[in-house]
Formats: sequence, C-alpha cells, structure tokens
Amino acid sequence: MMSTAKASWVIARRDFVATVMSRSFIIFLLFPVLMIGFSIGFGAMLGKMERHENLPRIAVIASEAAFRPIAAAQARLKPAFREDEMAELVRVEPDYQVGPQIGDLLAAADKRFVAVLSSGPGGMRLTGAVGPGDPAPRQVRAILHAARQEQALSAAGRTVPPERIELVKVTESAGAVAAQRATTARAGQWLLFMVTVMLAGMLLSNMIEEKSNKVIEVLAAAVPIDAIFLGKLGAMLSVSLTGLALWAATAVAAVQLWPSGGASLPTPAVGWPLFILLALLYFSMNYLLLGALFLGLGSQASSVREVQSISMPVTIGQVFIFFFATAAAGSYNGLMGLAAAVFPFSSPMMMIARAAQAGELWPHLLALAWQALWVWLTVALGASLFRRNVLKSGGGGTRPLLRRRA
Amino acid sequence: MKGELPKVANGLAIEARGLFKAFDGKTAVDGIDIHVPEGTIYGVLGPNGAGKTTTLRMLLGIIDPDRGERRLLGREAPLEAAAEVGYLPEERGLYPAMKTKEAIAFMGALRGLPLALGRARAEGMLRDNGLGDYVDKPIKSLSKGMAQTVQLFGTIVHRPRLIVLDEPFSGLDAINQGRLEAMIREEAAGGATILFSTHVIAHAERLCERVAIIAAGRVRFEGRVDEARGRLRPRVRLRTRSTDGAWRSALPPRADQENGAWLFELPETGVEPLLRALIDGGAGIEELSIERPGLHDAFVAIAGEAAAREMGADAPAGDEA
Repeated sequence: MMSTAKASWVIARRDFVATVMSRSFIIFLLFPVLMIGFSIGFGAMLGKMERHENLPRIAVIASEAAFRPIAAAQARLKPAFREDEMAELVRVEPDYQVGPQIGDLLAAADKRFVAVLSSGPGGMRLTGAVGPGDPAPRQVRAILHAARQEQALSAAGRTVPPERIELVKVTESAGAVAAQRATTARAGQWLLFMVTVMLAGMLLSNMIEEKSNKVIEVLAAAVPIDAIFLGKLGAMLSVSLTGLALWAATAVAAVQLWPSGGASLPTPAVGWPLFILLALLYFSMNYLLLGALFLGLGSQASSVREVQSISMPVTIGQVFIFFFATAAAGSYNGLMGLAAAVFPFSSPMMMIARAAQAGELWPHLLALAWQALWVWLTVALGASLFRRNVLKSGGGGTRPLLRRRA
Repeated sequence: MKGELPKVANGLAIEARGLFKAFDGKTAVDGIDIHVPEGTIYGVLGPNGAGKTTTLRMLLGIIDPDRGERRLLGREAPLEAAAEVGYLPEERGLYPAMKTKEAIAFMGALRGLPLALGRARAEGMLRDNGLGDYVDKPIKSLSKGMAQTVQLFGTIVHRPRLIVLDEPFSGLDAINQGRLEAMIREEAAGGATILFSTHVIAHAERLCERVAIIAAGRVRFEGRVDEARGRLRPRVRLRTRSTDGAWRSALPPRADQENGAWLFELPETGVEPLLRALIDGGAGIEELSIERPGLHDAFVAIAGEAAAREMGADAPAGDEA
C-alpha cells in the first residue's frame, strides 16, 4: 500500500493542477484585487461625500461686524479639531423679526442647519435640535469665549502671541511601543481572519465533485479516506498560497508604482522577517484547521444546496472565534489570552497577535505543534464520519482481521 | 505490478467468510462466503439488489463488513493490496475536465504507478484501441461508451494481479461488450485473476470458470460453472411414430408431453436401457436428444424462478441465457 503521504500527494497534485489550470482560477485571482480596488475608490468617494454632508452647520444671525471676531476665533481654534469635527458657522443677515427667522432657518431643508445662534436679551442663544452634551454647543461656547477674550485683550491694548511648543521625538517609549504593537497584533489577526474566511470556504464544497461524478468510489478503493482528505486540504492550501503570493506581488508592485507615503505598521516584537514567516505558518494552520472542519462538514452534504445551508452557521462561528481572539489579543499572558492560544480554532489568530507583542519564540513552536495535532485530529474525525455516514462503512467489526483503516 | 510478487500462499486471490452487512437495519449481505482461486475468471451472478456490489465493496475495503472476514491477495487489510488490484465500479466516475490520458495515468498513480509511465501506457492503450485522437481530449468530450473504455484502461493501466469489475457490461453496445470480453480473456491469459459481477447470465456462461450465485444477500451456489450445470440432470426430448405400446413403461413416471414430444430428465440408469425398450417395443424413434442444462437452468434451480425472471428482464436483448 502507498503511504498516506504519497497517496495524499497524488490526490493533492491532481486537485492543484485541476484548480490552477481552470478558468475559474483567473476569476479567483482577480476577484480580491477588483474588490479592493472598488472598495478603495468607493470608500474615498463616499468618505468625502459623508464628511461634507455630516459636518454640522450652524447659522449665526449677526451683522458682518459682529460676525468677524466670531469667525476669527473659529479660525484660531480650528487646528485643534479634526476636519470633520468642527461645526461650520454660516452668517445670516438679521431680519426685522428674529424669532420667525430662526424658525424659517431651521425649517429650510436645503440649508441643513442644526442650530441657529442669535443674540437675545440675556446674551447669546443657540436654538436647535442639540442637547447640552452635543459637540456643537460646546464648540460654540468655546468660540464665543475666545472671541470675547480677544476683544477684551484688544480693548486693553494687549496681544498674546500664539504658544510655541518644541517637539522632541524619542525613538521609543514603553507605552507607545506597546500601543503600536497592539495595532500590529490586531492588524495581523484581521488579515489572518479575512484571508482564511475568503479562502477556506472553498473547502466546504470540495467533496461535492467527487461525490456527484462518482470518482469517490475509485478513490476510496485505492487509498485511505484520510489520504483523500489530506490531499484535498494540501491542494487547496497550495492554491491559496499561490493566490496570496500573486496578490502580495501585485500589492508590492502597486506600492512601487504609486507610493502612498502613508503610515506603516509598527515593527512587531519578533521583527518583520520572522513575523511574516510566522504569519504564513499561522495562516497555513488556520486554513488547515478550518479547512479540515469545512471538508468534514461539507463531505456530509450531498448537494450544493446542503453546503449553502451549512455555510451560514460556519461563518457565524468563524466571526465569534475572531472576536474571541481579538478580545484576548491585548492580554496574551492573561487567562483569556492563554485560553485563546489553547483553543485550536482561535490559536493561530491569538499567536500571531502574540508574535506582534512578545519576542519569545518557544511558545510559537509549541503552538504550531499543538495546532498540527488538531489538524490531524480534525481530518481523522472528518474521514471517520465520511466513512460511517456517507460510505456507510463500519459498524461491528470485532475480529482483528477487520481493520477499520484497511 | 503483475507477476512481481509471489503467489498467495493458499492460492486464493480472494477469500471471504461470513460477510454480513446491513444498511439502516436492512440486511444487504447475509453471511456470504466466497473463494476466488488465483488466475481464474470468476463471476458473481445475481439479480439487482442481490448484494453483489456491497459484497465487492466489502472485499475491496471500500466499506467494512459488520461481521465476517475477508482476505485480498493474502492481505487482511484490503487496501494493503491496492497496488495489485484494479477496480471498475458499477457507477463509472471520471473527472470531466481531465484529459483522457491524464485520467488513465491518475488512476494508475492512485495504485502506485509512476505518473510518467502511466501517461506512456495510457497513450499506447488509447492508440491501440482506436482512440488515438482522444489522447489529449477532455473526458467530457467522449461518448459514454468511450468514457467507459477509458475507465477500464485506468483500471488495468498498472497491470494489476486482481481485476474487480462491477457490472462491466452494463451500458455497452454489443460490439463493445465483445471487446470487453476479449480484454477480460486477454488479462486472464496474462495471469490476472478476474472477478466480475453481472446480472446477465450469458456473459458469465461465456467467460467464467467459477461463479457465485447470490440471491437476497446470500450465496446460493459457489463453484465451477459445469458443477452448477451438473446439479441438474440432462433433459431428454423424445418423439415417436407410435403413440402407445409396451415401451411406455420404460419412460420415467414424471415424463411430460409437449407438442407430441416427451420431455423428461435422463434416468439415473442412463439412456441405453431406454433405447433398448424403445427399439424392442417398436416405438419408431423420430427424434431423440439429450440436452445438457445451461447456466440459466441451473440459476433457476438454485436462485429461484423469480430471481431468474428478474435477471432476464434486466438483460440486454440477445443476452438472456
């Protein structure tokens, strides 16, 4: 008998060639690139639109002279706020009757005013659908206060020059490094999750072809079911890594052609080369773990419709596991962090977060061995269920002559 | 593969005792015993639903029996002998997008044949059998008969010692059935053991040295084809000019008359005493024939009239025994 490894290789080679040489592989390769391109384009466009549309507009009923110090004070304070945070003040010439004018301004849909600032007998008044906790009244209060201070200083013949602060940048501070590495940890987890979700789902329907065209009978008569499962997993992992390599090459080329000059991720604790290697290993483990589970579940289905029914709870389960790993990312040595590292299906995501934040290597060796064990156990369980439920094998063999894995 | 390994110690390519299998509480195979000597062409006969396919799947290790023992080429674990076995399942299965040559080589590779050698042999097999134009064509471009032929090539490309064919003739036209029979004889002549299941008695009668007759999940007979036929006495057909006389007492008491001819089993004493009585009694013999029973008659006697009717109904025209 061929060894399981050799039999898996035969299955994997066929599946890999069949997938990579198919037309659908081109679509598979192009899909994420197009998706990311569209996302970036639409995101930028929508962001711009939203920023403009969501900016709170406040009407200021004032003469030009009265509005000038207010506008000047707002201009001075504006650098302290984000572009989309500070309310837009629009001067409106006062009517003869201010009361009805306020009502008209708030009712005018095209003007989009959230509040109207006017002067009343007791001082300034802000009328609108805003509460005391909203940013708009606080901003208006700060602007008016600054305007009054400026007017008072001017009346006293004094000016206060703007404060100058010398910035001294240090390369590292413990707090900043920890915060930055937590960002890398979460980015690593997110990437691992997204790529696995995108790629491992293919395995749910992987056995449908063999079952529908009856090739499974030919395979099952020649090699152990475990070898079929391992071969299919190996093939799809190779297909995914091929896709990732091509996408990464495309991304690198895109960055070279159109350098963005944007912020880069902080250096992980184990350094970039090792982090990338570990990311690949943990992606492979995450893929194999989820893939083995998907393959086992999908092999029980007899039609694409059944596979679709299974895929929904599977996706929800994945999201929960991702949230668990993300919640535990910050406390990699705490109880939750250790639990996430031990639970096989969250372990790869937890460990990549650990690689970003802690420099020791031995936990990774231990985790990889642990995850590999679970891959094997999941494959063995899936193959066993397939033999029992699909091939209707097994049952009551009691004599040594009847080896189950024959 | 074939001939590279020593013969099985007890000379049996397949040995099974008391195989039992039930699906969802319904018994499919009920204590089957089979012994297939090496180098023979062995037929498993039975109507649809008799348990033939389940028996073959258990023998090959695709499924495990609930009870019983089996050995394949001397191995207790059938998959350990996979490299020396070729299997053509009843439900043919090929990857539609795969090239013909690659499909054959892949099936060989599953049984341990190096891919390059498999490709070379596949090309040769296809060209020798008039399918040279389809070497690099995808399976989906082949007719059903061609695809079955390709799968058969994939079954034997690694030159197995044991070839198991489940209903190999089903779906083939008469010409391809003839080709398949020739191929089976050729493989057997080369030393391979052939085990095939069929519900068409004519194929078994033409090809097999030994048969197992299965009905309702049980083996009703296992042995040589002539042994099966030998279970029945030869039938005598007699037509005489005289309708009555002293010679009538020489006929067996259960002799039937049909269209003026007497039909009866050949008496234990042989034909000579009967002949003497007919001549001495002046019966005037117009026709006297002794017919050996066919496998179909044996099957009827062994498996029952209902099973035989079912097999006859399923057999393609011209193949009923």
